[in-house]
Amino acid sequence: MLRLEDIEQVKNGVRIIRGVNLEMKPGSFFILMGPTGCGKTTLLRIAGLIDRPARGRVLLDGVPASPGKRSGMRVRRDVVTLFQNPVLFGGTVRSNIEWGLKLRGVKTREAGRRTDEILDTLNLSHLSLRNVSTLSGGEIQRTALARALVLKPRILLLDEPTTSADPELRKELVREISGLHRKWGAIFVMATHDFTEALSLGTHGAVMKDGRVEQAGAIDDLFRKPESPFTAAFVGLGNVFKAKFSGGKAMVNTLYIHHPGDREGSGYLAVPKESVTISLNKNSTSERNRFPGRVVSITGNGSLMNLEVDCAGVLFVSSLTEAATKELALEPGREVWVSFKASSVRTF
Amino acid sequence: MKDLAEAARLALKMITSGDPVLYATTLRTLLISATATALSSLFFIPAGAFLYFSSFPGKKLVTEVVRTLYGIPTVLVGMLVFLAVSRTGPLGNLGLLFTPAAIAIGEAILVAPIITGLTFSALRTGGHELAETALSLGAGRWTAVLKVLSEKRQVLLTTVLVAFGRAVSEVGIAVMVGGNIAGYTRTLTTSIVLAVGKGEVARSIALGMVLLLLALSVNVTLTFLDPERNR
Repeated sequence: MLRLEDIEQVKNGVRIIRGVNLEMKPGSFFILMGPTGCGKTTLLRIAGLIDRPARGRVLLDGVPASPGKRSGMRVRRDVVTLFQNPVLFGGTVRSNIEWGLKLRGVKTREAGRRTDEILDTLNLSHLSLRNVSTLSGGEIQRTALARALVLKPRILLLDEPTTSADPELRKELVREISGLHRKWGAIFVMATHDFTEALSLGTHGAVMKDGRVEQAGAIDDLFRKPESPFTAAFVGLGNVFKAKFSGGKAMVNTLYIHHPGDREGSGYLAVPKESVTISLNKNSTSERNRFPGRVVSITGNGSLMNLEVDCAGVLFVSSLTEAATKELALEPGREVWVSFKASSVRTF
Repeated sequence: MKDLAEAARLALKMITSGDPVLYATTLRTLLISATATALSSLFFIPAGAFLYFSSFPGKKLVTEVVRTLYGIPTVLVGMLVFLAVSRTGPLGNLGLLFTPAAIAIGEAILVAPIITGLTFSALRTGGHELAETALSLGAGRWTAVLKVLSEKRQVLLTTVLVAFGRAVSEVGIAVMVGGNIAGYTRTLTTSIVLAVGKGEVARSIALGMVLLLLALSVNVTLTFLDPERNR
């Protein structure tokens, strides 16, 4: 188990990580999410024993590990980090992959076998003896991934490993990372701001904001039960509003919104954009929250469209298929009904 | 002009006929300068790496001082080493004055800022990234630094050659702490000083040609080692 205990980091006098506590269980695929500059990479560097935290501890199976300390050295070889922009050593693809194995004293024959295996898994066999200076960006990325994976670490930290990859390579990398995680059951920790990756790979995760963990838990809970307006907005719920709660209803501007629970006072509510239904007449749905509105904009590419509807000054976002948009002949200015179930409303 | 041409002809004859004194002096010069460069590299490549990887107050100032010392006058180093190894100096009891060892020590000090500074500069291109990559793959701090130095070996070899070039061509230290003793501490540069003083034009030109040849070999090697050239 990897535990980050009360981690603080300071850079140029500014606290960039503030009291982070996280726990990653064996076999979990932990996703670190958050906007650029929220501290994901800094936290990964601390967890990967690259940087020493200003305060707090990194524990692996209860053993404290700190860069430069003997106890740190014992666990260092169990933790491998793959940076966002990986650097390869001079030489061939093979010599790069074998370096970490030699460092661990793996016998030449065994190192060769494991290298061949990972080259084959990542479709790099044909590049084995190529000098790294002749590799393309995608090949560099895959070589770096192979160099990290061949070590079969107990903890693999990945810092946005697919960011610089083209869409095809991105899909391929996600598939390979996912396959290898299932195969070994090690702890994988990945920083990303791609929700598709987060949902398809992650078992657990955390949303970070300004160096703090805003919410941590099972990945499904992060997306379905956000505990703060920031998490709700960040995970793409689409509709986050300031509200006044009273008697089982929430008032947003002049709209009364039904929601589960008995919250009172001021707060926020969020409605996942996937839960917002658009219809042309009031009675076509039985959902408790129904409001008339006017289509403001239709955006999106591919099969999924985002529709913005203004309901008495409250802007709702709905996620619709392109087919549904066409079927309802939706266009800006069109009058529609927005509806959603009370049970789909989250309150904070 | 006629005399000069005649002297050059004689100089060439000395080189091609294997003049024993000329060859012994050349060999001695090479040995002293190589020892000085090796000694200095042993201590000051790690010093350059330390300067690059560590962070401490005044680091920028230290780096600037090191760079300024690239052009330290050889007579100044010669004087300091002389004072240190002379009979009344702190190292006087070692009996180093007027020995090849004293020249080597002086030259090692002379090239120390060059080796430190150029090592620092060599690491500035990607040094941290390489070290962090090594750390990220499970290396300890020392292993990571050694890996970076190994990755930068071509540039570091260039550094060593530049330092050797400076050591082999200096004269101030060799005269002051070597004493220009024939067959013992006489180097190519001190021989030239002596030959010119004695009016031995042919010998001084021959010695100058050998020195030039050495400097040229260093430059040719540096050109071949240039990563840009090999690209």
